[in-house]
Amino acid sequence: MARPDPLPAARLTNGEDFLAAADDADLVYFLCNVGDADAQLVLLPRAPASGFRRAVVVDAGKVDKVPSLIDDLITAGIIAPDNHPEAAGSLALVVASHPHKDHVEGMAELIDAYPGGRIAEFWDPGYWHTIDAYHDMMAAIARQAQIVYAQPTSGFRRWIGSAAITVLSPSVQLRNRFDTYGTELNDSSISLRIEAPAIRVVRDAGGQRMVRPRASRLVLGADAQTLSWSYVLTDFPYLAASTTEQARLLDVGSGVDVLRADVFKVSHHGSKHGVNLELVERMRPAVTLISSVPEQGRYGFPHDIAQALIREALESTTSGGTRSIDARLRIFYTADRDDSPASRPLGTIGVVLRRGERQVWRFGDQPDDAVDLGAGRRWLELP
Amino acid sequence: MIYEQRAPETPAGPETASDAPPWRPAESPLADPNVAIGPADRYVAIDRVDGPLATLAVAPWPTVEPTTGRLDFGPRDQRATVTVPVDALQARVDADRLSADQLLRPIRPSDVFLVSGFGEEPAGWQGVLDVTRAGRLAAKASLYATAAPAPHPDELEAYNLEPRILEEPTGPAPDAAAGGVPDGAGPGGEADGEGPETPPSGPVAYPAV
Repeated sequence: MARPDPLPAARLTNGEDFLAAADDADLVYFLCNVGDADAQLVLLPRAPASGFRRAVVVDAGKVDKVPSLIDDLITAGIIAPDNHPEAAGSLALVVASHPHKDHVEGMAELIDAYPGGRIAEFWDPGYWHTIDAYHDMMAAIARQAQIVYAQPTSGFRRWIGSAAITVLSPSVQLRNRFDTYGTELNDSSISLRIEAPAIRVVRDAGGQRMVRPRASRLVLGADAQTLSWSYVLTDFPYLAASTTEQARLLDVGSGVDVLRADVFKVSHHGSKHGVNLELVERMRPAVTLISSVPEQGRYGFPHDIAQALIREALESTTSGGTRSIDARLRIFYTADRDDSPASRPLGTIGVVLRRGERQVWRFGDQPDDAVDLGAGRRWLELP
Repeated sequence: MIYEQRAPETPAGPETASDAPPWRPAESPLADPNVAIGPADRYVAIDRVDGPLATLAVAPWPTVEPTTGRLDFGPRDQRATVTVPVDALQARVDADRLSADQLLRPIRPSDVFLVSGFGEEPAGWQGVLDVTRAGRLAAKASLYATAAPAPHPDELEAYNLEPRILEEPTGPAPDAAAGGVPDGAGPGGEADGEGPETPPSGPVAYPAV
């Protein structure tokens, strides 16, 4: 790929407070700038009875990046401090999407940094790998017996507060082939859909009724590739809305596409094997994010083909017309820079999601830097 | 009360860990305690293969942690990630597989080697020993030791297993010409010990890792 087009510095605010921008009910997502690797953190909505948010971590491909961010969120009073009763389980879920080193290199340090019950649950796909970082990760989990360890497959759903997490992949058919080399390691990836708020039931003196709030939806694609996504498309079909009286009387659950996303973290850093046109068309993401290095890096990611099909899915040119720039399509890269003379790196991407609306923030860090929450600059959409 | 899946593992203190023995993979020349493993020898695992490139996770040769039995790869600052051409890696590995009478096969992610004289060019490596089977068994043991508690001696008795497990699965001899050496794990990814054709009788065990 070519270096991403510089984003106009004039469209990035200065002096706004990122932490103040997020309401308690908002879903907040960080795609950390870790170069050719992945590290993500999701802040779940704060429950009214709670003083703090809980977090979900997905991958720690670089040592220190995620713990540093968590520590800053603790200092800022977003996540409960060590001596607070709500500290236990405040890292509600840690996910190692798959055991490639660029996704788990910092995992052991992350787990060891938070003993004493702060981490409630850990998921990995169950693909054993021989690299040192895998052994370190498993040993770190073993040192904390209170961490629930699980290997979810597609369709598994977990509710944490008002958020619902659906495991999209791997299919159990893929997991059953792990030990025969029948599944490529990227295709073992746990990809997730996180939705908040989930469907709720309101109870009062008049009985109970179900409410479906306008939710915010993240799809985190890990490194899943074509084979894995083919199972996802099969396992989660779109059932067209039925408007017949019979369907109404039966309260048939159709017309909801489980793959729709407000934010899509593109799988495998934009590898040409990581996404396909139909998948992105199904998701129709409002914001598309790619964890990458500026110029191809070690593996040539993101690939021109992947970029082209993502753009086509977001803006069909079948009937002609010119292609919009990535920023207008809301495709952002952790490797983005601004168009100032200094060509400042834009680094980690933060997204604040509220009832399907979203704000994109940039933190200006390089892969080896900590995320400075005070340095956040909000992206103003192009007119 | 919080339900715990397992008892926490407590590694030995640093004074004990420094005396930890090197990992000696079963079924390899390294299993002989008289075979020296040098401080410069490296544990090299293939993390991934992307087209013409292989990414290697390189670490000091591990020791066996005295109280948990896990592999300990030492300080992080002595580890590295190195990308090499697949062709060069394959050629270097094949050369020593031939001389060690090991099966020639394409390299794959999760292959494990002891490399003497490691450098970023595989052609310059002094020696390569393929210990993939033992490496994969160690990784599986790492997972299962985390997922469930170690059995109590009373359970071992109930299972009719000796605490020290050394016997091999008793299946038919593998036919190397027909596709290599089965690693003894079932098709479901569980270490259930089914042989490739005929299930062995009695309790099934694996070599120590």
